[in-house]
Amino acid sequence: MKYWQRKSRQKRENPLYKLVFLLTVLTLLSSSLPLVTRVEYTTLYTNFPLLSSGESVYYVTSKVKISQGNILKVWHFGKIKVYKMMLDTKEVIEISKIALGVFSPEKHKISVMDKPYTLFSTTLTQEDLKQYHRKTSKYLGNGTTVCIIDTGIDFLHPDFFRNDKSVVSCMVSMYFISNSNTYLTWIPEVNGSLEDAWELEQDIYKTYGMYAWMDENGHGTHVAGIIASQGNMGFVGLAPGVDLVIVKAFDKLGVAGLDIVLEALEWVYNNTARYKIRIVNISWGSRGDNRGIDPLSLVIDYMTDKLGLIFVCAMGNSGNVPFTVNIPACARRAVAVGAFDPANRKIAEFSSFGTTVDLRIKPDFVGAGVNIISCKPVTIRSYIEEMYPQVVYNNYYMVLSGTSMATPCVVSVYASYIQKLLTETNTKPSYTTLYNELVKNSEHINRYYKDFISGWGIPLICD
Amino acid sequence: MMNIFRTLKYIGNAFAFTTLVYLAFTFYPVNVPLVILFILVAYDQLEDLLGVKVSGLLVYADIFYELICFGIGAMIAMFGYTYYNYFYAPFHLAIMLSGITIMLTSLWDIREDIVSRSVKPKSKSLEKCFWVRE
Repeated sequence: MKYWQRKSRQKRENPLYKLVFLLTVLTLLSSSLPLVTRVEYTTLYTNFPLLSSGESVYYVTSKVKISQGNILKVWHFGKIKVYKMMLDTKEVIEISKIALGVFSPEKHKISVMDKPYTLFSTTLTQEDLKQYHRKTSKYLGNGTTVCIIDTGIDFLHPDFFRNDKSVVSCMVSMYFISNSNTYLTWIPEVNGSLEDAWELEQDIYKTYGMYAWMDENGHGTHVAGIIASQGNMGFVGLAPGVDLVIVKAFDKLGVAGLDIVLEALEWVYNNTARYKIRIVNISWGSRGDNRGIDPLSLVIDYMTDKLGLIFVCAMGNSGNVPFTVNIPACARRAVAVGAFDPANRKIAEFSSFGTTVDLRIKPDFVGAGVNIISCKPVTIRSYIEEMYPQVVYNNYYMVLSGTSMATPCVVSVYASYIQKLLTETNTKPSYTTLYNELVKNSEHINRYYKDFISGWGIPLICD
Repeated sequence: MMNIFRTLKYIGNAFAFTTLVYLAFTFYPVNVPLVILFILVAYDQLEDLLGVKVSGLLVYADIFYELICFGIGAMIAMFGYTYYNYFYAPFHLAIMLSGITIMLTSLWDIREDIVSRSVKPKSKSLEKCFWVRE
């Protein structure tokens, strides 16, 4: 009997199957084409690093000392070093065998992530914001130091004074080097009052046309306000008990190169013990290959393991498209934060989605990130204020949206849990303990598992 | 009765095949190994639709293959559910259902494979050979 004459075969010769099959294939062809255009938004899966012909600049992260090639600069992070090198294709292949990661900076520009929103939609006050993140106000993050790597801070804003003493314990600028060949630093307890710092700032501005620590953009002040605003002018931050270490690495336009960001991280690595830094707020990032093998991600992983720091990173404002996790939120040990709109409790339309291209689930949590009222620079007129005057709420506050604004919410939650666990157990809580505590006390949007849209959900400040 | 189930299974196969090719198109620029897995699983659905059957020791390979399909099906179901949980679009519900379909059809195929290995051969001469499906 021939194959097609078999009874079992004949049974399946039902025209219904053929019809269904044909219809589904036609549906596929008609519906899949528009989806393919979404490709341009997704991260390209390339063989890392991007090889270019001739010599070009690469960032090599390595535990092994690298001596070959033309080294332009080296950043030291204990056992790990990041080399900025001129390499040709052959050298890249050789070095890739021994290095942790080889990164091509082409097409990588790191910028802060905020998205000015107009006030015509629902205006959310920080009192409303507290409903989503804070159950009570028992733990305010007292005794925790948060480092904010951003565009600086308006250190004279009245909301950053706690009982006439500034919440800023140190300010450092990556743009200026002092006579002692260190980054220009101002420690209020050592160098004098912040009014004196402002006088120095004005002199610096007259000479160089740029402020050292003052926030010319407005982003850094807004982020700092969400965490540590004292409410002297109306709106209280989510963890007003914390102390701040401000690292200015971004310029007036809110942009920085990879070099300066690495320098900022190197400064944090060297000064964590001195300033007792516990959490680092990273409300910036860059699109790119998010496999976590770029220098920033590798350094963040290492610093988390070595120093016990917690890096809370913004996911990115690339829209609701999968695989758009930004660098360095894609780092294995970074706490990646997406944004939700507390007014309607939906995921923000700009919030990036996970996973990473190697299928690790990001984000870890989501924070309130739409129409957030927080401090704006009052000493100088900021860039955001100039460009988007509609975001100004009053003389002291402005309204911004972005995963940048969601990140300090999660930082505040971390600060409150650190205070709680320190009070209860009198031991320094580890990264894992804190992470598990946050997971346990989160409002899970997905009840069953950590997903690539909201992670474990909305973390709540502890009772 | 069995025919109704079988008909439903074939409809499910066709539906799953569509989704898998669709996802392969979407994921192509992002994660190539995942796309290869999607195509593999899509082939499994096509295999069922065309009535291709395996015998002998290949059955063990087929069981392994079906287990991979089950895993990928679970992943697609989770992917669809995650989206549906936030956006409530019928499209995402369809992807979730398609994932569940892949899981169910692979379980069906594993059952068929096990049954085919459990069937005793009709004649002694066949004992020397690989067992064949009834």
